[in-house]
Amino acid sequence: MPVRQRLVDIENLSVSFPAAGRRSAPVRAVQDVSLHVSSGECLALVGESGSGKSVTARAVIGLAGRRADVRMSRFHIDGVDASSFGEKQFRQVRGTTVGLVLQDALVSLDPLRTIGREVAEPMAIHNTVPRHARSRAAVDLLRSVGIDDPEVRVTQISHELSGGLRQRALIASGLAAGPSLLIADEPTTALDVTVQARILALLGDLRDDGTGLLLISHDLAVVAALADRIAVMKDGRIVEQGAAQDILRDPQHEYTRALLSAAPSGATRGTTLVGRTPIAVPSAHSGDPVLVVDAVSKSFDRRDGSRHRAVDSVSLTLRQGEIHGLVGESGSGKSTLASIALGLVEPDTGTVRLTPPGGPSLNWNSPSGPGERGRRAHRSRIQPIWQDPLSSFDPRFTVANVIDRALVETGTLDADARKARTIELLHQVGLDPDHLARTPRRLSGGQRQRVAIARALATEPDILICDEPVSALDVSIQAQVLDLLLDLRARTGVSMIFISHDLGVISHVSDTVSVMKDGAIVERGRAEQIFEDPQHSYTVELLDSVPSLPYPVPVDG
Amino acid sequence: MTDVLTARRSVPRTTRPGLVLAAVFVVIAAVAAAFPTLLASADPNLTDPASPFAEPGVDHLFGTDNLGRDVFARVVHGARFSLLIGVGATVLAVVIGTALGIAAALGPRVVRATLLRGIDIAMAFPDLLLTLLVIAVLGPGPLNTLIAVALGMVPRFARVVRAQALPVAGAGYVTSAVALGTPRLRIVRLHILPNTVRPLLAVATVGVGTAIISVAALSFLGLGVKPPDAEWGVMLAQGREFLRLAWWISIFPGLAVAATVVSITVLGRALQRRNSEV
Amino acid sequence: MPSSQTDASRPVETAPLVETAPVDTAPPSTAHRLVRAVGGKALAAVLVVWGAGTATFLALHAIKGDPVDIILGSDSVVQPAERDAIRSSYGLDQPVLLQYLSYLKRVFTGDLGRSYQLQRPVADVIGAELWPTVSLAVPAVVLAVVIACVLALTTAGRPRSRSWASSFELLSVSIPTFWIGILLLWVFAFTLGWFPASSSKTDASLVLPVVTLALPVAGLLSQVLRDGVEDALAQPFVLTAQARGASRARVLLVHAFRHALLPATTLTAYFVGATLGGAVLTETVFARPGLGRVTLAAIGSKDMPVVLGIVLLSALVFIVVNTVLDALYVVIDPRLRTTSRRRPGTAKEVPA
Repeated sequence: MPVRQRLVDIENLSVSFPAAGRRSAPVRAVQDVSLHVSSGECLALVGESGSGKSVTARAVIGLAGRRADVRMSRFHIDGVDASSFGEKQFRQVRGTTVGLVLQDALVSLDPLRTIGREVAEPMAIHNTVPRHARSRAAVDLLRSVGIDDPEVRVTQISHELSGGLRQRALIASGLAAGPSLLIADEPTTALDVTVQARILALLGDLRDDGTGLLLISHDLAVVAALADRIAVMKDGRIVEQGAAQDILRDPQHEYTRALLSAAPSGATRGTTLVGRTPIAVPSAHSGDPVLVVDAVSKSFDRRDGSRHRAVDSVSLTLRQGEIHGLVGESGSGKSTLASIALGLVEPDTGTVRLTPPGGPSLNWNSPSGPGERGRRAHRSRIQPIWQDPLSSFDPRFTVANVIDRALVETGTLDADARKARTIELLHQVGLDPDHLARTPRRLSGGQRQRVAIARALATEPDILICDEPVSALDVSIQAQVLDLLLDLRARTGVSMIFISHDLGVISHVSDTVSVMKDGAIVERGRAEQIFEDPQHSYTVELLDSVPSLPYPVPVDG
Repeated sequence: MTDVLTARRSVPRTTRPGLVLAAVFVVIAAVAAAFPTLLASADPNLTDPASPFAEPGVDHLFGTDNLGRDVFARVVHGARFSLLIGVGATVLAVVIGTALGIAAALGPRVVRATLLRGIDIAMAFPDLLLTLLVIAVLGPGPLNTLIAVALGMVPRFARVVRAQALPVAGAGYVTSAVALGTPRLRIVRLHILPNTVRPLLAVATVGVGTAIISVAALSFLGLGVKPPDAEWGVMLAQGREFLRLAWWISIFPGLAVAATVVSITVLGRALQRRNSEV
Repeated sequence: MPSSQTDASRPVETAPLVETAPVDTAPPSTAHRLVRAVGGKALAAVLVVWGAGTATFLALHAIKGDPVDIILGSDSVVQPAERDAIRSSYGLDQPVLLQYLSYLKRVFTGDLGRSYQLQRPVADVIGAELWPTVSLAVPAVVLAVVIACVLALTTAGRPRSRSWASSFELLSVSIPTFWIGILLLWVFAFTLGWFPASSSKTDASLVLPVVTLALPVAGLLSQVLRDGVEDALAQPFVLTAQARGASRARVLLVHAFRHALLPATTLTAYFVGATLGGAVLTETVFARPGLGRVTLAAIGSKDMPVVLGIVLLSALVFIVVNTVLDALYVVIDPRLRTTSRRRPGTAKEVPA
């Protein structure tokens, strides 16, 4: 291998922040981290939230924060000793030697300025291109990152571009002053999976052309295709670092192994994600339908007066004990469909019928339908689980209040019985009674979701509608919550509609799958069938775009 | 008159000694309003033609005015007007404003649209003007001042309450309550009202400051409390005439207003911060 | 391996300008949107004027006592026939509803009538005193804006100086305008003698009143601006700008300030109103001519036509300021050019 110039070389980096309150200790965000990136290579820094990966990346360009205490034993940027750099020197390096690309260009680009101005800003700051030539340079730059029609785009604002175009523009602005190293912090996290694939390809091309790439991500599958080397971070330390294929094929550290094995996919069907124990999956269904959605449509008025058809004549049948996965990218209408299924939004046409086990089917939601009064008595049968549980809790309520509310509203137990049942429910979701007196604000994301599940179970529902229930959680927590949901289904036979944009999760949990695009269901079938032999071109595109781990995951124990 | 009601998201932190000082002062002002004779033994209305314009000193802590009345006693007795009218006006404004604001957020569509328009129209005018308009109709005097100041503050409160109630009405926990089958009225009682009203206390406290200034302003203009009552604004107007000769006649009452309003505002902001950090 | 292109060259991203979703109706044209926007503003203006007129009319009729007495002054003794003549000349003998309608008609045609007290057209009464108030209010607003901008920009994100600035803001907002005026008068005019005490023809006499008027507005505006700047500084695009090598000055002036202007602009209409209100007080403190004394005299003597005139003037100012602000808003926030409402939410407003 030819000797390549190390663009960044840092040893024993540690970053701490002062204590938050009088009683807490200083936060050691990064401890003893050593890494280097050379030109033409991609180092991926992988970890969950709180691992310190973003802080490390920002420390490389001196943007760890005003209150950060940054130390290291050795720090070179492109051969220059940077260990005693002040703000002024860092500013000279930022943009010219090292570029930064963040996630979600909608807020990472100044929404009030044109794309052209944003992209050309490094040129203006460092005067790398004379003023009169900047506009043209910006156009060329946009074209080089694969944006069609750059002359038009240059005059637009980020709000007018789609997610993928915005991210490309953001990458362009990172490259504008010709840096040799690009730091990309979760560059594809806010993007749909099909768009994500293209952005990763773009980054790969940049790397192939000689730019060094420091790629930060929480998703090993995403970095698998791009990374030459991988460093895994946990709690501020690097637990394992090495060549990408070594790490992925034969991970040494138990955390890396846990991270790899916690990723849900088709290969993990039928087992728990945490410690692969088999879990009962109901066999081919003859279960009775519990929820029938029949040709439902819903349109909304847009701000500019036009109408947007969010759900377009969708039909769907959920059978008893089944998990029906609903997959689609943003804008596909899945959340609206969930609201209609829950009876929170009335459809313009079509009906939703609810069939309690052993009872007659009810008209649950339709334009001429029962209305809220008619639904109220049956609400306990169908309960939601949202992506962000915190906003679904009254901020004044404790965990005990939250669950108690559900018990009061849908049951007839007295206060003592409710208390006992609350503790029981918490046990079922893996929380202990200490949590009762806390407000959800003080719980972690995973704990909050468990409380939300406990509340949903309090009404003893037949059906759960889960709208992206694990999308906001770290991989390891996600694994636990998925295991919990599957366990609940196995024990109680509850049926679920499980909505997600994450194909790995869908293929892991679902029995049947519906694929949604632009408000309509383009393909439907049993999970194995859809994933092995997709028929519709969109499904094919979707499946092709999903990054996957190249090697089989080593299973522990 | 400046609006101290604008709810700030990030409220500056007042130091512990600052808060203590503010609280102490508010207590003093309250005592002055309730039991003025505890603090000032002299009669505020007793004229003494022999010693007008006496400088502040041992006999008269704040000096005497043009009629020989003891300024300190007048300042202490004046607290009653400012505090009672100020607090009373704020309470009235909060009650009316909350009712209007909640109706504007949650009522039937026609009501919502009309109220919103109405509030917008009322906000088009400076509140001093609104207050003056009410005084024009009712005439001066303490009770009318209370009503006028209250009505001047209503549009602002209504808007704040509406702005508070709207996100609450659309909040995730309201949707969750619907999903549980909670009847609408119970949702309003359990979730919407408490979450809307609780932050109001802090805003209202800060509003008392504005009210006190409004009362003093009206009296200063001769349209609120009238002389010879020892109201702070009245004293300021009277003292203005003699500023060159006897600064103490207007400076001390003004200091009283300033100190009272600053203390109340500081406490109100501390409340706001505690609310938003909960 | 991710690949969704069959083409061997670098994949090119092409996407339409708006969300691709089947729409039932096409979006309205730009002309249509413009008409809706302008129409909306005109309607709002009409409503404000109507509100002003109606409120004053109700106030007028709520006053106890006979307006004719006001017109004549309390001391005069006059024949009933003369009284009736005056009554009908002011239209006070007609049924209330008719009075209201003709009142509204006059309001909208700008005929403000005659002052009860002064027997002169209201327009004259107000017009004569307009300039002194304007020459006070405009410099005050300008001064307030300058102070606020400087204060906000130099203290944003700097905890120590921020607390000083906050104390200043707290004081300027809690201390009554008229006391500040008296204080300034006492210190600078009477004690130090730097400025004239009463209104004279010199510009120096403007300094103290302008400062008095500007301070409370400066305090509140600075608070709002700084909050806006600090909000903006916490956004990811600031980190992006810093990562490009931008200096603090550049980040503040090129990026953050513009964002902070948005909430501040919303408040400006309120500020102008507050300045007008403050002018009444300030003119009284400094014994200056202007709308202050007109308003007070009119209120004191229940001279309703003049009061109506003042109310309408304030409505007019509000409408003008709002129109200017709306135009300014679109300049500051280019996102508004692509949607027709005032404040857009995020790019994806329609639930998925």
